[in-house]
Amino acid sequence: MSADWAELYRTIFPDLVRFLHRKVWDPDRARDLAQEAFVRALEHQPLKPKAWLFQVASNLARDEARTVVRRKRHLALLKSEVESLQASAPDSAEELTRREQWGRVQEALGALGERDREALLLWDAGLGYPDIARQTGLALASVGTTLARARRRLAEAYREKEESDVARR
Amino acid sequence: MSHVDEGMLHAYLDGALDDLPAAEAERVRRHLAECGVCRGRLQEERAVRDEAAAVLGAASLEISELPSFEELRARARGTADVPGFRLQKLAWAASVVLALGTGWLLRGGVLPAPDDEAVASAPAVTEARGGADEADATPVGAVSTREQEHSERSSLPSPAGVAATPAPEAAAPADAAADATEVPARTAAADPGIRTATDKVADVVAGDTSPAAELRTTAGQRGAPVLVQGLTPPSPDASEAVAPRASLLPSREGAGFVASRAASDLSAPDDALEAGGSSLSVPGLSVVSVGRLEEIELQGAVRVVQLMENGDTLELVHIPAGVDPALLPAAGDGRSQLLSPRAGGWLVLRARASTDALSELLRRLGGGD
Repeated sequence: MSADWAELYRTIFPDLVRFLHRKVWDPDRARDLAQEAFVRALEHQPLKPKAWLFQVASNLARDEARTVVRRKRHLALLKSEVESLQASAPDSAEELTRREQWGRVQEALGALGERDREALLLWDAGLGYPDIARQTGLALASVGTTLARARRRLAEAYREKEESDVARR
Repeated sequence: MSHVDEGMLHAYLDGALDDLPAAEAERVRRHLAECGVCRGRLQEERAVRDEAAAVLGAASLEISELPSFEELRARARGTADVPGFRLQKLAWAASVVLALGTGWLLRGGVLPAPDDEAVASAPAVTEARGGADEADATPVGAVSTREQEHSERSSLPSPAGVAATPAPEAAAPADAAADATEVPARTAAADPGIRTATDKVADVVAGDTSPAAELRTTAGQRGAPVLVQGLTPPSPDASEAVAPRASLLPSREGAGFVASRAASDLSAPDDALEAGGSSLSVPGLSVVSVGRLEEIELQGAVRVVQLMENGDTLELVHIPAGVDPALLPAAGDGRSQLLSPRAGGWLVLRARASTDALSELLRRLGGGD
């Protein structure tokens, strides 16, 4: 049975954008990459669309990150992602608060190992253990352990960041 | 009886026990029903899990409006007027095909017949996803289903008192249907247009024993990337001149697609493919992007990204003669790398695959020094 792509698009696209946003930390770019992933999916018509979409999205984000790293190296832009996020002028106090929040979460996610982070983001985007195992190369029986470690580390890192921000004020 | 480890506790909380071997799932359930210590640990792990979900929820984007699906569908069909790199890159891959195919056909060649084996579908693997554990009447307390979990996430408190934006919606029925079909393997048959035209010409040109060897000899010289002449971006006039030749390509739908795309986009101003082309694309894999590397010290290097059958990307970098391949940034991301002498310079293959798999891709690529 062929997939109802319009329905898949409606239900998966928001999760895909959120997943990508936590990788590239640019809402517009996340939307662009999610659209790109869907265009490719429509071309390829994969039989398991959701897992396929997140796999391709992950690859796109990784390629994007590499390009960004190269560009930054050559332009000698040494600011961290967080600093550059904070440096760009926010439109309002609400926007400022949101960006600070994103910065904290980004730093906390950065405290995780790459595979732990990927597993956690995939789970949060709604993928099941078998798909997470396949996409990250983990054994199925190890997904729970990986998620447990990732969740604990994320929560700890976020608390630490929050406390240091409070102490600084 | 040993206690349940934290991984199993999280699998239990995630409603994923049924994805694991039945005996193990049953052992965990039975143990939790009997062991007060593990039930206490379960509550601790639940708090950790909720806290992590709240942290992620604090960086959740609010998606207020979806782009038009029809526009995406049009882009996928190649009928939309889309600015940006994507169609342009595909157009260049197509223009390579057209230029090479035309050159070879002008020499009296005949394209080989479609390769049925090459377009066979990847084997399907079925997977039955088990239900969540919530149906079990365990004394541990209510454990939410996966779907409920998504709903719960939206109501979790956000850290630092900042209201979390809405969490992902509950999984749709289409999601469940999608999960029960097969692995996300990309089939070669899924994009006959790209693979057929690109790869058939690539096979012919890269093969040492075919008449295309003559084309290589005439088009490229030792010490310079092969097929440089064939890949020089054509002028708009040239596109007009070669477009009618597209009709000489096989009349399969895919080839027709490539030809028409090439005919309409040949004037795209992009010189990144000068050293790319058939020798830089593995037959059977679709081309995702083509471009020059940005590093100044790697001037002249060309990077082609292709999509492998497993959905991961394969990166091919041609480093021209006189440039040190060690200047290429490390592969990273757990990717393997393979170097091969090519056209006086080097060809670098990178992918999350074994070196044996990369060697096989290199063999499929053909045309080495």
